[in-house]
Amino acid sequence: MVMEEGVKQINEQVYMMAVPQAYGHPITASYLVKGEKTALIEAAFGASVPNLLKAIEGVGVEPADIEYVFTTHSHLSHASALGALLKSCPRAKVVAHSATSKLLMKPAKIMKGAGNVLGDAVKLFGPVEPVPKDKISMVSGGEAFDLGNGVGLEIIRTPGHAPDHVAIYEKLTRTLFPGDGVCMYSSEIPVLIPICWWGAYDVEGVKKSLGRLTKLNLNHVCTPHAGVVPLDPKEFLNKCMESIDKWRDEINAMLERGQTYSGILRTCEEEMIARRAGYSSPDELPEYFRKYWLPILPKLVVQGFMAHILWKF
Amino acid sequence: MKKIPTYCFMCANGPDPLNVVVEDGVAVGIEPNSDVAPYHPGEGKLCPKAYGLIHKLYNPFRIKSPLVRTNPRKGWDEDPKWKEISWDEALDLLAEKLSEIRKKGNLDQQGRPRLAVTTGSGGTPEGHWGSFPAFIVAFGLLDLTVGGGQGIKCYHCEHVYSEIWHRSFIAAPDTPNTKFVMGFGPNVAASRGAAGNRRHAEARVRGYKRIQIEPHISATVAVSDEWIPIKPKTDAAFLYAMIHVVLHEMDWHGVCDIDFLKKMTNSPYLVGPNGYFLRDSETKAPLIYDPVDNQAKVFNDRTIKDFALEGEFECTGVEIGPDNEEQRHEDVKVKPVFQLLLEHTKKYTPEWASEICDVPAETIRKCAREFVENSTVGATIEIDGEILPLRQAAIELGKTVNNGWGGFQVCWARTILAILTGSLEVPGGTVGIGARLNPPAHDKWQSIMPGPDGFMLQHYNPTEKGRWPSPPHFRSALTELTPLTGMRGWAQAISGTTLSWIFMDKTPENWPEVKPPDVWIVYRTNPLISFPDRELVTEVTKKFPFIVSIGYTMDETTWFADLVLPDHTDLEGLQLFRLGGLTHTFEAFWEHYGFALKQPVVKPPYNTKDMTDIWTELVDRLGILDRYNGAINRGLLGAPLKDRLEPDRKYTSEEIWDHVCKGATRVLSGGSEERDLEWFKEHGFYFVKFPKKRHYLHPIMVKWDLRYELPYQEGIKRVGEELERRLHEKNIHWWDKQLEEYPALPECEDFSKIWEEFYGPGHDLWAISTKSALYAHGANVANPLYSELSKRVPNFPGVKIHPKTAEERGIKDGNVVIVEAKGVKVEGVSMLCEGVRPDCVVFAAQFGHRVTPFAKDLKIPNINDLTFLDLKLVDAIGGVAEIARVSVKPR
Repeated sequence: MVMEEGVKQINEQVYMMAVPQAYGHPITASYLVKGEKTALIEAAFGASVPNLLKAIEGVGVEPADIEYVFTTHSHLSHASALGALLKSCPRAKVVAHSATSKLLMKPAKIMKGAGNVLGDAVKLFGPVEPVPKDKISMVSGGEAFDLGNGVGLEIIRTPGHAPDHVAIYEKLTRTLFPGDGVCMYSSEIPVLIPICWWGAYDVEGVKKSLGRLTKLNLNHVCTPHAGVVPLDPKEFLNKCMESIDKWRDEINAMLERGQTYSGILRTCEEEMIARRAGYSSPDELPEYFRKYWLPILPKLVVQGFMAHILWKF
Repeated sequence: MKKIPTYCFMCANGPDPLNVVVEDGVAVGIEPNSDVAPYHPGEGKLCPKAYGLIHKLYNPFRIKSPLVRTNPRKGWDEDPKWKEISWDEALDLLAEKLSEIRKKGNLDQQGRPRLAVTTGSGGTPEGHWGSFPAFIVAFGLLDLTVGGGQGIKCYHCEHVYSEIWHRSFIAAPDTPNTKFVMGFGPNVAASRGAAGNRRHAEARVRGYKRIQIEPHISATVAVSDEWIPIKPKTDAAFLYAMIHVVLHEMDWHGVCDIDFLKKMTNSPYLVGPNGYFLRDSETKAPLIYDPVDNQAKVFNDRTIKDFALEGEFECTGVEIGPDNEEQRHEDVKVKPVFQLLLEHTKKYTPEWASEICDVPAETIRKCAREFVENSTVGATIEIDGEILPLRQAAIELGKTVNNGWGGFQVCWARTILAILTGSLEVPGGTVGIGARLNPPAHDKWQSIMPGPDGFMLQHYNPTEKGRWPSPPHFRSALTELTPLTGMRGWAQAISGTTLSWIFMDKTPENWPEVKPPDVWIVYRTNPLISFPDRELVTEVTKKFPFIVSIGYTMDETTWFADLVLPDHTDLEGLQLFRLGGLTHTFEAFWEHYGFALKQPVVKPPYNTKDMTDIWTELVDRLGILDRYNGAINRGLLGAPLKDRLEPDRKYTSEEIWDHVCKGATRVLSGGSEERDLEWFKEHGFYFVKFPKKRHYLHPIMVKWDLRYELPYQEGIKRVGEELERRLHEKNIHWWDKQLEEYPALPECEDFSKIWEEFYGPGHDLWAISTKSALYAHGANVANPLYSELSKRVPNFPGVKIHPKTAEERGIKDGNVVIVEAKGVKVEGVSMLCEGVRPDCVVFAAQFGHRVTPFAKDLKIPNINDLTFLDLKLVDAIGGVAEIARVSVKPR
């Protein structure tokens, strides 16, 4: 077994596959879960499918044997490879929330929504192919998928980041795949950054979903954009909840002081992310973060919280 | 006796809550609902139209049960030979037709929806159509572009362009705070309902001044301070000359809102040699010139000390043209947008305009000065604890003024005057009333999203190479020909629906054939009266294979139907509907918002059906109940449901609206209160406070650091050039004239000549139309009460003509006259009146009925018989003006 670059075994059953994507750096990690059957969680960029397939083969799994591909929601960095991936995984069923499923069948809407938010960066994701209806298993939360050998994946409904968001929990290894329902946190950028999308960020929804996840007895939290969380899972989830309140309060305070979007965005980049992560300025942040995340993430966070605050009557 | 709360929604100002007095199970009277007075801008008062609801309910000419046509031949002289059938038979028949569509696939061979639905104007059908939105979602793609007259000839350019500029489906003066209004044609006194008229009355008491500019004395002129009788379709020239006066005859540095121009518009952006913004080579962001540091900087650079508005500079950068083509420029000479605007408007002098508009140049100068003086640049006002600019002058536009050729220029010029004085979207100035193409309509703060170049994000239909045309395709070709309308909210309904009829009549060269829909459902509209070119529309209608009219009385369109479904009238149906805040089409400036219930006040006297029950029965027969209930659960009827409908259970209308009542009150109260249907039946409405500052876009634009995409239309120019390439690649040239209407800075001309040339010699008068309060927004012509009251309105409803013009033609007051245009003749009764320009005749809108009971005996002509659906008269967004060149003589 020769593991490809970016592939890491998390525990007996779970492999992280952070294969090169846009700018050559992984933006979204997929996770392979092995029982008697195999499942893949999150399918990132259409353009990265060949790298992902190689990584799967590298851990001794034939893509043709994959039984399920789970996606936590319909955003491009989680679902855009699905259509292309299925061509090499003929047995696989895509497991997605019913609202996600509708978008997967007609991805033009996903592309349009992403284009509105990401602008030209949307091109990095490559072409998005539709997923045929008969290849989708729709879920709404509470469903269980038995992979054999005691390995099983459960769907947990976690609206907030997106209305159609779900998390996936592997019961044997007590591993959580929370999608974007948690904050971004890594050892390189040790700041809890909420992940928002355009529209009023559903603060209460995210916190409620996080509260549901804290009831699980977890060993690992495997996030799509920052790998395995290097903190105690329960502590991490609790900190996410606190952090979301803190970000909202700080942005609200700036608005009340008369600050506007560009000023708040600057504060977010310079102070709330770079300095709090231990860097003197955004220019000092790691290259991959500077290139890919810095132009997008602070914008999404500030827009999400500003809309949350300003849209309220 | 009991009083039952419900609402009136027969015009775009509604819904207005009211009470119906019921005695022994009979509705006997309409009264204002005094409980609503604290929430309603008109203190709960009603307009006379509401009092006709009783007549509407008990009208003996109502369609009293479902009807099926037994004579397959269709024509004015063909008796349809209606046969009464049961509701089960009627719904089975329609379900069978819709089921055939679903089996074949929703789209026909040309990729257009097989089912089309047409509804009436001003959003009023929404307040009556029950669960139709959930039906749409359950059924899938259908065509809403087979228009009934609304959109393309109402405030069409305003709907499209003002939504682009400031999310304004209708732009209005901020009447509660303004001091000076110029109205180019809007007959607000006749069409703004009880709440709007109350606002105007309050403004008059406060001493505001109104100048009304239109060719005849309308009801609004009668309550204005000054009337300027302008030649039809020359309003753009008047407004361009006002801009000229401000920029070239007054000291613009002293009178304009310079800070607003620099920070809230694209006035300082530099324009490259090809007419596109000069952009930073690396970030591609537009550049401005900082005159303090003497260098070009990106528009949002933190180091900018000042923005140059005038001059010429040598700069380096790139232009991004059509199809993302980049062109690099080294040390090229560029000018700021504002400098180009100064140069562009130099030639539009009041003397130039005077020749075109037939208005003295000094009058135009006086208007420009009064507009600027009343704009009170520098003044502020505190609203909801926030200090906002106060600019107390505004300009509003009427229908014929702002649609068809010249409409774009009128809207642009009006909005330019607003930005010059900083009066756009601020208290006292010109503000948008809701956003219908950029949802949600009830909160325009949510309708904007930060986009590229410092502007709000636009949602044009794609025109770039490889992305045009973008499916789905509709008969009005909005994804092919009118990209500026986008595809959101009401886009389909206000797209160029003229094109649907023109193309169904005759497919143009190199265009895929446009076939009529397999099934056409018509609701609360009568296109055979309300659409231009009745002859063409009639001939096309005859080709439709299956027409379903959801009708109240027999009317001209229903005459051609195959199946007629009589729904409950306003006092019989059940529906919860959003009102207040920004949900209304016109200016009422509600300070509350919420929901009101329309409920049955008596047992329906005839075999009619509730609209929600009709849709539920259909989806049940089609086997798509789960999708329909799912859509209702998600909030398609106004609010998401907490207690969700079960997927496969068929609910009654009462059960559905009970769920919605609970969902709506939970949303409004933030989850703290829940009111059911019974509660609404007793109380009628539920309101919460609507913050006043949300009537203005300015505060949110400032928070997002956004600029209005004015005065320079770089985005529109790019879309136009791309569209031209796409059409020419397919050898399509019949849209070339329309392609000229995508300029960055629009030129003005004498647009009246377009009609003069089209109609040709022998047509020496203009025919224009006007409305009375009682007939505004239609659907009332079968009611004798309105006719009775209208006769008390001076000069209604004959053909108004100036005595001098009449004398020249030997016409006396009360004569039957023949009005002719291109061989089409209509007859009406002359009404001599000095309050009309001698070169105009005025028609009452909209009559000319042949079938509708009572109305057919009124013998009032319809201007739509004299207008024509011809691409020469269709503007770039598919709109036409309700205007004609005619000759008039005694019979």
